Amino acid sequence: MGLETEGQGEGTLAEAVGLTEELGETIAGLAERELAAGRVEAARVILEGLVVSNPREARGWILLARVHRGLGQPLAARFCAEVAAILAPELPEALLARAEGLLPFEEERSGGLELLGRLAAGEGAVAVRAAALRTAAGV
Amino acid sequence: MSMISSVTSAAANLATGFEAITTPPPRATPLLSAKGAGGAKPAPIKTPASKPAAPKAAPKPGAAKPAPPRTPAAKPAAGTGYASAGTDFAFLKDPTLSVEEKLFRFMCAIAKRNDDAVVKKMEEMKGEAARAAARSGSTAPKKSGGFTVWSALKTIFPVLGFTAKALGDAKVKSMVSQLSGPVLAAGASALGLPMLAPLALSAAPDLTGAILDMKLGDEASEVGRTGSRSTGGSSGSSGSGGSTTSSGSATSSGAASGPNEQVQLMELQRLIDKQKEMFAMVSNILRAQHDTRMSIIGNVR
Repeated sequence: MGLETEGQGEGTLAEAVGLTEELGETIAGLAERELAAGRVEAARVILEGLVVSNPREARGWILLARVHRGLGQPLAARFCAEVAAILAPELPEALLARAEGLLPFEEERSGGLELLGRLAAGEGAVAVRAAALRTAAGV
Repeated sequence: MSMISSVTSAAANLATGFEAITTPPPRATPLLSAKGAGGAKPAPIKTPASKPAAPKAAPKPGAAKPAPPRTPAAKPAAGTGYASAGTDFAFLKDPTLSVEEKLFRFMCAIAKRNDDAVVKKMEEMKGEAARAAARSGSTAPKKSGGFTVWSALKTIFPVLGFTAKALGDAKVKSMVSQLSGPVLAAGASALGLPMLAPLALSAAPDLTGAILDMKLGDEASEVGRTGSRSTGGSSGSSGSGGSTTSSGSATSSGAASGPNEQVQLMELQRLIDKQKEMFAMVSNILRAQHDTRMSIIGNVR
């Protein structure tokens, strides 16, 4: 019954408060810098706010997956990475986050490595990281 | 004379304004399209196709393993999710329109928005009433506990490609405590399951343990009941136990629906009051304008 209330929640909080895409990108960049500086908790707070404001922001989910990985929470990281991969299946960063999310789970590791293999065949930073991860995993 | 002609033109403008109430404003169309072509983002058009889709089928448990199965129906919500420059009120910048016409168009836009809000609220109330009726009217024994965080997670997880059973309850429980309620709710919305967001939102870390424990306990007792049913020894007593549980939940939900209904009625009342206030405001403005003009005409005479 409750599942029939479709259409609720179509709009995001970002739309309601007038948060523009540029501002969202800036906030994500800020969180990324916090994460790079090792302030994981600060990055987490920012990113949680970002994904709550706009759940369709794939970059926010990718970064949040990284935050949870950094906090040693693989399942939460996987949840975020899977959401990102569903939102942006064509984005190599999202696929990399998904592959990294799969690696800690014994039964999903082969899938993760296969995905890393595909990403490693590409170009750019994602391919480099995917190749490094494959090497680290002993493939 | 020129004053009279200006009043006549104002009247013509008012007439145009009235037309605008019944028909879409003709001048706004090229303006909007020009703005759209100029690089500004057009407002998202809501079509039935853009609605987030509910999962049509859960992934098969025995699917091939290399990558976790994905439900094709798990479409993310459409659009970027960010606010775009609104084009509803583009006519306000149209230099060819008079103040009266702008006022009328503005009123039309606001009235339309308010009408939509009222209709939406009524639809919501209708859904709520139907749900309450279904809760109180159904006599079939149902699972105790209703739709909880646990069942919400069980719906979300297959969409993500992992099963709660394979992960284990403890892991899932830890994940829910690691991800805050709002994040889980955002995830549900992002996956096109906004209806699960309120439940996920309630999964605040301090509550989660209790809720999950309760649900897992219920499921364990459900398994126990099924077991006792299969033995056939005490089917009557287990049946009565089930009905007691369901009636208990119905009573509690019935008690909760009362205040909820009140709140919704108050919300509807607020929306209608808002509409009334807006009409009163526009009416006052027009009356003031008319009085000013009439006094000027009187002075000229």
